[in-house]
Amino acid sequence: MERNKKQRVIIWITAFVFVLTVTGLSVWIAAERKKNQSYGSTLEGRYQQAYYELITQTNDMEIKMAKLAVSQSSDTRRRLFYEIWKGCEVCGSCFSTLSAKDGSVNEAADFINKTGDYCFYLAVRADEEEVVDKALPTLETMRRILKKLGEELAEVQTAISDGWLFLDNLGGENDILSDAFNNLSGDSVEYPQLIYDGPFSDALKDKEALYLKGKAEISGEQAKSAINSLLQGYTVENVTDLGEWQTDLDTFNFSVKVKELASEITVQITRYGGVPLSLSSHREVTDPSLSGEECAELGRQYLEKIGFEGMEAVWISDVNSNVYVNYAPVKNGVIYYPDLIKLKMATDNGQILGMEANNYIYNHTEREFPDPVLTEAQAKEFVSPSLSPEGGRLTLIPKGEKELLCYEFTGNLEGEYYVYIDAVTGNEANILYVIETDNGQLIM
Amino acid sequence: MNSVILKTAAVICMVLTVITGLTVFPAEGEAEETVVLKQGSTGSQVKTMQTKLKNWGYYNGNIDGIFGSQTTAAVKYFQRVNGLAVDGIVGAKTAAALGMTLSSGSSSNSGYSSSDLYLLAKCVYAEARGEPYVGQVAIAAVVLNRVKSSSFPNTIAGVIYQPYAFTAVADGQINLEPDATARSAAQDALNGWDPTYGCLYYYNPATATSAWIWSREVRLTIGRHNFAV
Repeated sequence: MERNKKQRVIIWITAFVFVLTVTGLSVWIAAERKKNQSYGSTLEGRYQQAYYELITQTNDMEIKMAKLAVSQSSDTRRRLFYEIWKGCEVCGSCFSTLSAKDGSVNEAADFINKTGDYCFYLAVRADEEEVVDKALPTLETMRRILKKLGEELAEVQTAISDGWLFLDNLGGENDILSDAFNNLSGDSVEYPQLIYDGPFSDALKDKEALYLKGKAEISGEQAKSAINSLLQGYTVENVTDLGEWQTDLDTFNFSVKVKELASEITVQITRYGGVPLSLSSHREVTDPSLSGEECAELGRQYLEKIGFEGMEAVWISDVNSNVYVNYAPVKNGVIYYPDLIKLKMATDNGQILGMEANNYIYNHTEREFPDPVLTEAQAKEFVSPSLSPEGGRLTLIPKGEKELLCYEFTGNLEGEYYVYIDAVTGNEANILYVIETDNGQLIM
Repeated sequence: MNSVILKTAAVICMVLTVITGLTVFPAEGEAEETVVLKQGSTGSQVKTMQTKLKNWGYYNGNIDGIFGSQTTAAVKYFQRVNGLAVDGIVGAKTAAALGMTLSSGSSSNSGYSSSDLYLLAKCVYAEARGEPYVGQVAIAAVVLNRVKSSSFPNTIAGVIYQPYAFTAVADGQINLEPDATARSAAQDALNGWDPTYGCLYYYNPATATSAWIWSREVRLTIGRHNFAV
């Protein structure tokens, strides 16, 4: 009797818990489902917006390209070039939204970005009739690709009206959008070869390391034995050979455990010439005692010891008590900005935490450049007087693939500016603006 | 006999309830780290803090934007007087007492937001914490190489948040607060250091699931990641 009662109680409790669990779960699942549906339609909306934007812009740009072919006025051409460039920027962001796992969008995005860049380049030169005329065949090819892209995209529209969703199919087996892009990159369309030095130029591909030219090959053992002299102030405990890295520079790569740091230091030394290419490590600094200038001087001495002579600190920036210093070679009073070496130092004891000589190794060589035509005073005339410019050192600065001999002036107008005036032509070659941030100074 | 079955049923129900509870209300993840200023920090936020401490008579050193030992002493003094935990570190509470809001990216005095560095550091931390330092710089460099490449979006935010580009964005790890190492690695990459020499892809060969990624040409391996073009 007693036992039966107990059993019944257990049955009731069990049943109650069970019903409660099931009810709770169902309510929760229903709520989650509703939430998911709402997320899903929001996302699908974003996809469709990007898709329709893309199709509108593509068609619009194709028409503008067609107009370019018949336009004779440089004003009209300039306006069209700028509008196409703007259209390409919009398309770029649509492509980004429509990205799938397989990277199918990359090639189409590549084409649009290059088209935009090319049109921007031509917009600036719209007055130069021969430049634009020479570009017309390329523009015609681009127009045809845009037309094809528009047609391919239109196919997707048919599927959408049949209930096809980006959400379910993007990156999957039934991804007709990805098919549309893939059809574009097939043999049927040839991409134009673009020659220009924009930010998208693939310049680094076949670059030669000028500083290593004619230097003798060293062995791995020799490279390893150079580590101690590179890591001055550190006690080396263990060296691990990281093997070959298939980069454009042939280097020996080591990971070095030192007593003074928790993380290991990565060291790269070039096979030809045994030139130190980089040191990378990190340490938090809590007791800064050295100023940026003091670090810069310690760094200069360090560079001299490891074989980089005649370097001068040209830029110092403090980020959470790690000081970054850029050094450039100075010869006959001319600063060689293309040949920078960068150091990262700890402001408590001046230890070298990082070094990078990539620019130096690629660019440093004996150069010939014209003597300045303008005097410093003449060059100063080309700088806005509102900056009250100072300085006027001769510098060599990189400009696209070329290098220019310039006078460097600094000035203040609610902020610090660097202005570079071509020492031969008097052209304004570049303006840099210094930005103070929590993470040190930036130059833009 | 009967009671054994009943007991088993009861136990199963209990287990079910607990499991359901755990699924529906998962345990809270690690608390997010907040931004702090501590000895070694530099920048305009440190300057603002030094100015306040100096105006209120807690600090008589230089207002140089460098959080040194003298600044630590002043912060401790301020914390003691104001009944805060005396640790010399300016977290959210001490900052609030100072009338400041600590932000991780933006600078108050120039109006320029260095969100790029912060975003890059988040990506590095989410994707590669625990990797060798140079491997973390390499991750940041791949992001910057993509910004430069015409096949990818043209901004750091565009590249990082491109769908399917980074698993850390998909699984929400991007929202973790980056540590000092990740920030330093991001800074090194922004400074122009690229250990990968132009690589646009990386993957962990142990976990990569996309068949497509294997078709890329691998240039180098750092830690657990293959870097490819």
